Amino acid sequence: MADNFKDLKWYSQFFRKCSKCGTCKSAYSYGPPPTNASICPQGDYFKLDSYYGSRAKSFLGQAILENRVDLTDPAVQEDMQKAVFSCTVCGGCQTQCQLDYKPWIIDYIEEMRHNLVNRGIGPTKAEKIYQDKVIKDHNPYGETHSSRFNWLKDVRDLKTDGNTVYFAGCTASYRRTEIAKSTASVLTKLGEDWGVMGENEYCCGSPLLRAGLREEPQKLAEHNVDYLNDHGFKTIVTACAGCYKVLAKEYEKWWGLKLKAKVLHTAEYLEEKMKKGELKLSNVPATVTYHDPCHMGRHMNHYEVDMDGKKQWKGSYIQIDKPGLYETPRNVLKAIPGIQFKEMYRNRDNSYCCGAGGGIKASYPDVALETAKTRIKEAEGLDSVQKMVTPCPFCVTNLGDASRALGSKVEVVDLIQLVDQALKK
Amino acid sequence: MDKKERIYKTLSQIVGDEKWVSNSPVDCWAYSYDMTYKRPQMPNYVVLPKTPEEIQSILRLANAEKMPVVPFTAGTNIGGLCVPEQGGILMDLKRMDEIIEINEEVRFAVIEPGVSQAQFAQELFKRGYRFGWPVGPPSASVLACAIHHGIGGMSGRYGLNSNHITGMEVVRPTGEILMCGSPAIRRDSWQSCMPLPRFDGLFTGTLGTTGVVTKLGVFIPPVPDYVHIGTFAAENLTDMEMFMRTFSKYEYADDLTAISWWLSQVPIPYPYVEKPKGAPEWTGYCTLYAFTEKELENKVDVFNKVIKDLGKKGNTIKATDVPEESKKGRTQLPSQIVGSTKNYCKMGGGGIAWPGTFTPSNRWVAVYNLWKEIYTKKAKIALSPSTRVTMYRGCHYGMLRLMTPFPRDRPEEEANAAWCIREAAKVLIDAGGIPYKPPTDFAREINKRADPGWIDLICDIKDMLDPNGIMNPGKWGVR
Repeated sequence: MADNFKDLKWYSQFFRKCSKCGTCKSAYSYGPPPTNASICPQGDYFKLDSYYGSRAKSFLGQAILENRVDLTDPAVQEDMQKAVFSCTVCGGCQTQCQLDYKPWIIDYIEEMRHNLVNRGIGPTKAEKIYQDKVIKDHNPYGETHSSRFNWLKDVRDLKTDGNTVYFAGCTASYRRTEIAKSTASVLTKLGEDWGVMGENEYCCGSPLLRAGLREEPQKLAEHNVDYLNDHGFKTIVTACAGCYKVLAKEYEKWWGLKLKAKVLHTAEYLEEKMKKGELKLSNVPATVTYHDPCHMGRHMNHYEVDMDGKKQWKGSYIQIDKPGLYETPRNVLKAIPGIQFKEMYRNRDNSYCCGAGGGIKASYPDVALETAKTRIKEAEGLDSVQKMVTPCPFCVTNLGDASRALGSKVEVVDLIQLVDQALKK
Repeated sequence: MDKKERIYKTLSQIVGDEKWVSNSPVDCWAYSYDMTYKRPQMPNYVVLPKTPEEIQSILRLANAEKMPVVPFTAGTNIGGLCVPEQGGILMDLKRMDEIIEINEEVRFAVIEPGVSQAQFAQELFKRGYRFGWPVGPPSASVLACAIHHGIGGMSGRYGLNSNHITGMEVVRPTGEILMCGSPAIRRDSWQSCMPLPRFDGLFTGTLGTTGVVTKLGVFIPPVPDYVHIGTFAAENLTDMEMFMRTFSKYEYADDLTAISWWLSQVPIPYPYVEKPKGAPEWTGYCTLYAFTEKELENKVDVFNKVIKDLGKKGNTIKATDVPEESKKGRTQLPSQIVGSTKNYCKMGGGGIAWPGTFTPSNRWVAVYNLWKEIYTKKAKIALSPSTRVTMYRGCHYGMLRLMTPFPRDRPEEEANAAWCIREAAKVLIDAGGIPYKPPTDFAREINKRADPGWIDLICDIKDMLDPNGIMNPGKWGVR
């Protein structure tokens, strides 16, 4: 099957439009009052300009494309891999960029990774290991495929039909089973006719796509889409931000694989129920803040681009015509009685990445942990915040690791866990 | 151990961690070019010191190795200032990003080189103070802008950002630390460079060739309670300059700026397009700040009176009414949109450079006409004469600059823009203007025309301060 990926040469028409202004290095707004905060986890950690924001990536892309550095030298290969693969690909820089480069930054960084993969300069060792695990067992954790739905045994019998299918994803299935169980519990409490894919649920492909791989995630995509389309589900629900981005956007974008069913993140699913008056929530007394997962927020922004120059000029960025999911999860969270909500300084488009994205939780764990610690400290700066809520198992994992490493009192929980707690049986 | 490895190890020892040093071509490439047409030139090492003491040690090492050192803060200069001419050690100062003091009683702040416009703006605003924010990126360094005579939104009232300097700490090229201005006498007293000899001048406007400024004291005026943004237009620069010269004598405007039609377009048309018939060639704005309503009323009255009086004499200047949204761009600085050069280079394609100059206002018209000739008639590909003029304090001179976008990925068009910019600089210098933060090609043109005694003095000072010629060599074109 043909794919819609573009090569580095194609992206050069946009990344060469980076003016090197460095606006991508921090999140700034005039206000008033003026606000400024760091936004690039990779740059904040490494500090060198070769690591900071989308400006750095423009430098690197040109170096690769025009052979400005000797990529046959093993030492240069190692440095280039580190510069390109230690980015969380969070899109914080993309939010700041004002130029025609903006809409393409995320896809371009991943294409740069793909280019390096083709040269044998990627993926990282850690990514290679989980790539092999995904190919063998359809999950990046090295767990057996047959144990994917072990968590469900505590909840109910395996059911693989219904109006709605819960796409649990690898992290909730194997590492954050409390999130999977809460999702199952919520669907059941709301009277949903739901099932799972059982042994037919494969990794969504996100970890491989993020590492610059193409063929392997395509196979996963084709498998998942074929199954989901063949089984007549009306709605696909997932509680994972990473799976959500892939299912709702990337299968079709990259491979033209259209899902017949509507794809909803659990936050969207719950907001729909809320609007229909079907979400009866009881008191959960807690002071909480909310962390925006990149894959659900910034990465789901849709950009209007004037590709043929009819409105402005060829390739000009016009606007974000459809924003990512920022308000939906907040609306659900704020609907829980007893919840005292406090916004972190960096939020929505300017949210600071949890540090786990782009494969760096596995490849550069120190960067991932330090980034998450920064985020936990930000929450600690809010008076009396007890919980950091986020609708992403991967964010929960990394932020939870940081909270424990810091000995913080801030507990990291998934949105679905709080809703489960608040839902009357 | 070879020399490369030895220097790398020594630099790592100085800054305490290999994390803050690199000699990787991958990292060095990211410091090899900027927004301008300057050809990439890589450093051999990048080092990120945290303290003046570490800088001392780096400079001593560089002297011992006879190796160039290039100070770098944010890499947002429009003249290739931080692109190494001769390789060497690029000293990235972004880890030195502390606002050391904001003294509200005496109205000064002390900052390190890595403090960004955005960071400083946030902290000053909390306290009701402001600074001369340039139309540069929010990420740009406040200190670097000030020591290179940067221009800001208060230049009409308070002068250039270098006029705000109240003191500095400098590491000399040979490694000694010195203080200039009042902190030279008492370390915690940063009120003024005067009445002492202006030794800060040795490190101001010198393009990083005489030392590394590690702390800077700057005057911070309070944010006034009232503001009015006056907007105006004229059919030609002759009339516009006359208005600006006349109104500026009152010293009422914090910012008094006019722009040609091509610069008023967002973004600058690339390549050149004809101005529509009937559209004024020049539009402008002034920001009038006041602490009382009465003070503001008076300023607005004078603004209107000057326009009216000149109109009676046949001047085409007129007050204009523009949307509030577009007025915001005049005061809401620093700005991501303006600072990212979105308004300037977006259509051109990522590159931008300009002859930015300090020029007496009575020569603006002559120079502008020559620039138009070069850009629209002599250039292989005609370019927009997108020109800005801004009055500075004292009001007898100001900024005259020609902002020139170009595509980074089309070498012929980049070369066309570079040729135009160089030719524009030459006619400007011949007319008595002086480019600020000059790229090396401008510096050569300046030196060709410079008084020999002035050149000799620069050489003597450079030799005295930097006997091994390690500091950003080549930038002044004299050493």
